[in-house]
Amino acid sequence: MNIKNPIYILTALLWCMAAPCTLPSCTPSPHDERAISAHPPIYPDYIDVTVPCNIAPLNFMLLDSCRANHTVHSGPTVRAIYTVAEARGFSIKSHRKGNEAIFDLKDWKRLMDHAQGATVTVTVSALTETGWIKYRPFNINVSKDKIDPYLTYRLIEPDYEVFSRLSIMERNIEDFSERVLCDYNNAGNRCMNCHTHSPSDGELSFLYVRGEGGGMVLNDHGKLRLLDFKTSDMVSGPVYAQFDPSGRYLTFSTNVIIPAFHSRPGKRLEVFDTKSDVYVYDIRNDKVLRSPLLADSTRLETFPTFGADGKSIYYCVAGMPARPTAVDSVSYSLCRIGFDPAKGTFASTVDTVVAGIRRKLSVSHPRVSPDGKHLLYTAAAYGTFPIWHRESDLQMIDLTNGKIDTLDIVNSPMSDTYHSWSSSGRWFVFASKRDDGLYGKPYFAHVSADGKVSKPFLLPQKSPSFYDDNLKSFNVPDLGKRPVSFSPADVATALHK
Amino acid sequence: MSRNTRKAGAIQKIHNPGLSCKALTACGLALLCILLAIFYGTAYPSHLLWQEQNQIFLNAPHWLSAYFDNPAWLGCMTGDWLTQFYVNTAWGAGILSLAVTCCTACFALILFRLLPRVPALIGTVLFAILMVGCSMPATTTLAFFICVAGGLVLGLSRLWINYGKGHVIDLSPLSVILAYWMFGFGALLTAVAMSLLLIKRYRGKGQRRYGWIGAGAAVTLAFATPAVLCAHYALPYSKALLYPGLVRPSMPETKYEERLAIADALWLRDYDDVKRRALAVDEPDDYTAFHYYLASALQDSLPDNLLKFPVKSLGTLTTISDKSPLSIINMMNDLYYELGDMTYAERAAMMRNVFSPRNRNVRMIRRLAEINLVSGDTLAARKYLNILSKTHAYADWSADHTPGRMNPQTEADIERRRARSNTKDNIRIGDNCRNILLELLESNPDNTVALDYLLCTDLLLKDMDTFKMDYDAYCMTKGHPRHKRLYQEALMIYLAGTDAPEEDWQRYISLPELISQFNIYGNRRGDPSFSDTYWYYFDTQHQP
Repeated sequence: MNIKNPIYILTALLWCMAAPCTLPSCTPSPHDERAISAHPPIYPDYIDVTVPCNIAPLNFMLLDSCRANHTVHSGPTVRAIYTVAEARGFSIKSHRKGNEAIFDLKDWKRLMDHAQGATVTVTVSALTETGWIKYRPFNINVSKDKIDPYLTYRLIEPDYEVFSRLSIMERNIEDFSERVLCDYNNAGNRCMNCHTHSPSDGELSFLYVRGEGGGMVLNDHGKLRLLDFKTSDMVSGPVYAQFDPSGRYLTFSTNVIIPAFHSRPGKRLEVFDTKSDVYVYDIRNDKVLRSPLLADSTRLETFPTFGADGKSIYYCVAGMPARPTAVDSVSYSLCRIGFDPAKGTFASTVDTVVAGIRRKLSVSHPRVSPDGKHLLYTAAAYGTFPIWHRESDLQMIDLTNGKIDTLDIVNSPMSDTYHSWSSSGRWFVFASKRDDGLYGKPYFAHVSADGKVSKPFLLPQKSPSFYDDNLKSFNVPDLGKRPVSFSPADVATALHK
Repeated sequence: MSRNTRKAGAIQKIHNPGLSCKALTACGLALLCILLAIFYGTAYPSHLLWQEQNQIFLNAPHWLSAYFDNPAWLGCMTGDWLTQFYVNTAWGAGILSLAVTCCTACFALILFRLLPRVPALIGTVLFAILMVGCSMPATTTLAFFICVAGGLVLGLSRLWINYGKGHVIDLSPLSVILAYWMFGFGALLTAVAMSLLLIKRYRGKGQRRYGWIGAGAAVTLAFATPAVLCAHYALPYSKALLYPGLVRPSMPETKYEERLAIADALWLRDYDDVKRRALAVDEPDDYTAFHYYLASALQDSLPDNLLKFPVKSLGTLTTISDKSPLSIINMMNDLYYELGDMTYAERAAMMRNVFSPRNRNVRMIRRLAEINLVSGDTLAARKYLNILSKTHAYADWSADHTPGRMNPQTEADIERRRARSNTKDNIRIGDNCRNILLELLESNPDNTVALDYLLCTDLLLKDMDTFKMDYDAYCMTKGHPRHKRLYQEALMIYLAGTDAPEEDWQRYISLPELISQFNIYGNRRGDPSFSDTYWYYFDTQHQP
């Protein structure tokens, strides 16, 4: 084959342009370092966090001092960064131009193998206009408790009133691979609710596709089928739903949801229910189970979830406000009702677990840990839509003694909500808007055997500046043990059936 | 002449079409490029700006790597990268005209190797017309032209490879796979071009079979590659095949250009230009009226100009939803931002962003930064400013608007808007503009833009009771009567209609010369010589 023409010259030129990227880097090495007593101002904040031993590399970027103080704009003040992460005598390094510390995946895995149950010490040196600075080293605690490696979430603009081009994604948090589970290309440009795993079976899950021809798409070990169990007396189709531990039942709420806006800037969106009821769906027998206690037209029942043994249903309930827009007077309590999974019957009494009015808060999104020890919920000042309530915080109740942990180490001044447990009950993930008040990001927190919760950490990304430029919220993150075994095309097929 | 000599001659002909024809085509292409550049630069600048603002391109490695998540990474990345320079009209016109010309040139190169000169020339002209037509819709993207040109270039690449003697397999159809990866639907063009060239070449060599095999392979690969890769890209086959999408050619959208130009003038805060352009529109509509009135309001002259524009549409009766056209969402974003309602300005900006191609709109990201600066939500503002700092065109703007680094003029503008914005909290269902205006006036009675919109809306609706109530509440009670002729005329109607006592006339009417005109009009109701008065509007016009 002879080279005759411009295409080869063009190719050669392109290679010449690309070559500098492949050549060994001329990154300056640290020398004459000036030690300072402060920890490095890094994003994401991985200082003193506890991470699972199977987490992807915790790449981070060094912020300049101004940006770290949230005062002025970031600038290219950091010219190079030299990072050493060490545990039990084994160390890895990242040596790069710019301000990003990015670790090799294989090196990181080996470090995590060494660091299980111990601490990784990270030492950061940075080249600035004034020379090399060596920051005070910081620690990352590495837990032996593994986290479920598959995280599903919906990517949506942080304005839930309208949507376009939604995607439900699955991310392997042991590395950086991400794939589409369902999106607008395949399911049409319509609303899709988030993907929810069964707590006990990684192969059982569902997602909800709204609009004409939509419905709840049940994934039973890779076989998808569209469930339609809305009856004429229900106020809507299923909105919030959860599996029971056996995978036979789904408890769900039907809600008439009204989106509204706060006139004061900064408070933004408010969403409230004017009607809502709770039901259970028997998947095996295709039958909806009801209790008058859960479908009281004078009360608002919502956010149902099964207890760890499947013998109780936790849900939130509030009285009707005097007028629909008096949202700030609506306070949801956390209640529990017994359920007999063998017979499919409900108990005749309801227990109040957390009285919203008495505690001057409104409870939402209760989630029982798979070991049945804890129940995590969101506490907001009022209402049913904590994602836009800055005061929304996570709280955890010890189900053995009823003690409530306000999780000060986990919460932030911004909204912290939409949580779900890892199957071991040692980790939970939640969406937090702590960085900018607008965009939800998945944070993970560790719960020790004695119920102590550690400082949470942000889902690591290959490029630490990813979150800076991302214009989508990570909505309703949910952990799974195994990758979901369906593709977007399968969802499209199920919908067309 | 021997068979070999004839064959060599034929090949020579294929490779060297007549010089004069080549020169003619080259001149034609150069002329096309120049004419297009002049056209785009003078008659289409707002279309170019619209395209630039309907996307965002960040100079960040992970942003670039995201292009590889879909086919046509090179077409889309190059297209988006170049589109950011459309912010400068001359650059935009040059880039788009070059792209159209390149597509045509590549097509001509292929056609002149396949057909005799005249049909090739006619075909080239037709293709040029098609490409120019495709550049006309506001929704077109530069990526489309890059993909067309890229696909054709790879199709041409077969001409530049000489396998020499004795080769067994012609591998050139494999470049269709490369074409799909880099240029998406351009692979179809690669396959067609390559097939025709292969058939022609091997027929010339007397190896017709090779030509047909190569052509079959190229076409098969063009359709099979997306079929194989659509699962990887999570795209349905039809979308994967035509990614990033085709463009429907159209005639020049001159009316749309007029409308876009008016909105751009408002964006640049050249209010006189907005009014001039709106008045020059042949068939004014709600959109032009909205901009005319908003520009007037921002010059404190809405009541003075309310009756001067033939269409009466303030935007205060318009609501937006996911079904609203993008131009209307833009409109409402501008209205609420200027009125001072940051909640609804943010809502409209978010909607505009959401409904933009790939959910990105740089104008709205800039607006979101402004809104959050006005709201005092520095963290959120910083998010958007950070994004803008990585763009070519808005990095300086971002630096100028960064808290702590703002220049005094910017800071004063933000402060002025902040003073106007809503300080009271309330739950709103739907976008009832009247409620919003009342809330804004409760927060800041000196917000004359909101006041004029409130009063003018009442007047357009001929709701005199509500007008009087609002005028009393926000002008008389606050001790700031607004002595605009329009309001005086309207008050006269109310006072006359309610047989108000003389002291009321004295209290409300500060322009006594109007009273005599009002009396004259009373005897000549509906007389067109009074068409510039509210009395005439009240008597003769339908409410919007």
